[in-house]
Amino acid sequence: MRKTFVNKLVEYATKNKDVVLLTDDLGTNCLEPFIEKFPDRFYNCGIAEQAEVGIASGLAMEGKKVFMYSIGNFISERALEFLRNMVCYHELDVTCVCVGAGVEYGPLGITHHATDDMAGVRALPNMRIYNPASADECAMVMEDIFNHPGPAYLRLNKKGAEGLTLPRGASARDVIEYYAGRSTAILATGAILSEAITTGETLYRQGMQIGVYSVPCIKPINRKQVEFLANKYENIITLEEHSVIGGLGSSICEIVAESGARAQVTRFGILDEFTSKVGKQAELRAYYHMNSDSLIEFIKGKLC
Amino acid sequence: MDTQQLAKQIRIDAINMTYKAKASHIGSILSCTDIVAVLYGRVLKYNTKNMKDENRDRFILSKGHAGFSVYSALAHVGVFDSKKLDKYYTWGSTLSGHVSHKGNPGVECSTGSLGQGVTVAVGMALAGKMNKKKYRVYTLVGDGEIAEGSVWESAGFAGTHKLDNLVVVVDKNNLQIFGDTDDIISQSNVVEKFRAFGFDVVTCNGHDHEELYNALTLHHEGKPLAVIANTIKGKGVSFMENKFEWHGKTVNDEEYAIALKELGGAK
Repeated sequence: MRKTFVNKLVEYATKNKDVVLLTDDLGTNCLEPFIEKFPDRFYNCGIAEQAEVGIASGLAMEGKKVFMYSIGNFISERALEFLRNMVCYHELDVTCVCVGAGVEYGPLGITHHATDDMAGVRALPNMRIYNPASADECAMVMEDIFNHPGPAYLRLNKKGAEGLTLPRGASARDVIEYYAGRSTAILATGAILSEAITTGETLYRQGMQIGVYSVPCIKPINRKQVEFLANKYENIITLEEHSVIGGLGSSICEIVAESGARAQVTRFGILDEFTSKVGKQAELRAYYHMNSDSLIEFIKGKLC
Repeated sequence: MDTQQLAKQIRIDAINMTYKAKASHIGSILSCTDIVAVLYGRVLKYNTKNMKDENRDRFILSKGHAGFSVYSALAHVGVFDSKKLDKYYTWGSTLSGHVSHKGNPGVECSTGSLGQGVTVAVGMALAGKMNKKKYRVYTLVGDGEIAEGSVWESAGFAGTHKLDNLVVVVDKNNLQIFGDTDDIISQSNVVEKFRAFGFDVVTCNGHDHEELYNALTLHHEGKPLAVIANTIKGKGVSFMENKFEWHGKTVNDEEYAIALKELGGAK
């Protein structure tokens, strides 16, 4: 996904001379194609996220289309108030690109886990939030960002749910159907869609047809599609590599509660705790009940 | 424009409007009035008919709580109708206490949370260099404000990238909400600090218009400039001068009458 991001950015920056890339000293083994091609449009702001967002804002006020590359919670939480007062209030063309979504940085520890970043950012007016599940979704989302002259937050992982075919006609702000189901559907956001896909495929082989959907755009979320699915399915499971507070699960619950749709919603994600266990992403997903084993156990308990 | 006349008018407006609206920050407004008057009256290049002219000089009031000084200056140089000031701080107005760009032509950036405007000014200065524009970017920070780490994060960037189209003005009145700045987070070494971050630094009397003009227009090739303007909080009103309480207090009827008289605004 990160490679897709940088390749798409280089392609776009070739056409749009106003594109500027900032970093807070992160992005080796990723940003080089941009830096080599556009050295005069790349600035390392140093380990200084607040200044980075302010500088991005000043550049955007002067007509630049600015991308800021960082690790999730560094830019979204350290500099949240700068995003609020400068980028969002002034409706600036600034995109925060946040790698290491969820617990991808596993054993590095909780300071490097972006597990509550969306909650704060989602409350900011004018902000869009994209959390693509795969390289293909990332490419699609990037096109949407290129056509959007306003604030955006892009949440990325190194590797996502690859090997899937994007349905024809899918668009970045849709809820994307990968498998249709009968009574139960999983709505996932981000790379953790892979766990939902494994769940769907495993249960299918056992005679159960579970819907699997991706939500690459958390805000603005496609409300009509969510309402439709919440009336189609009796059970909706949300899955996110993020706190269940403030991200996808919250968004779906809000829509279901307000629309009176029939689905019962169960949120899978981090249950209001720090991911303080030491382990790789897969181990942490398993421990915090965000993997396919946990989903399968839950769904079987519900349906069997 | 006569900057002395502009400063006098800003001060009179400020006392009138903070009294009428029961608004705070009069001490801070009076502290930086002369700086704002010299900037808008003599230093900044702009076109009142088109405050978005791409070649204009930019000014960001980073100490956004003194926003009224900018509103008043913009009204008196002809950017908007001075009648608009009468609604300051009240329902239906676009003039919030902390300076806002929404509905207010000429205000480059909304500020109020300290340490933010200066970072945006650095971004604007960088854009000026990238776009090969000749405009200059001025920003005004308070000496209490510069305890914010983001001021130094962005100062480091400006120094490293030699943004010599940037001028950071420090309104150094040595006071903040709880008292003396030096007792809270000392800024007595502010000259050395800016110098260490790659700035040219000049100090001046922040109420002397000639000194201010000379400092604000100083040639500073290859480095950003910091102007340390020594000021008096509450300048122009005897009972407010050097009193930290006037950061947040509002004048009562009696104080209002005295202040207005001292500022030369009594009818």
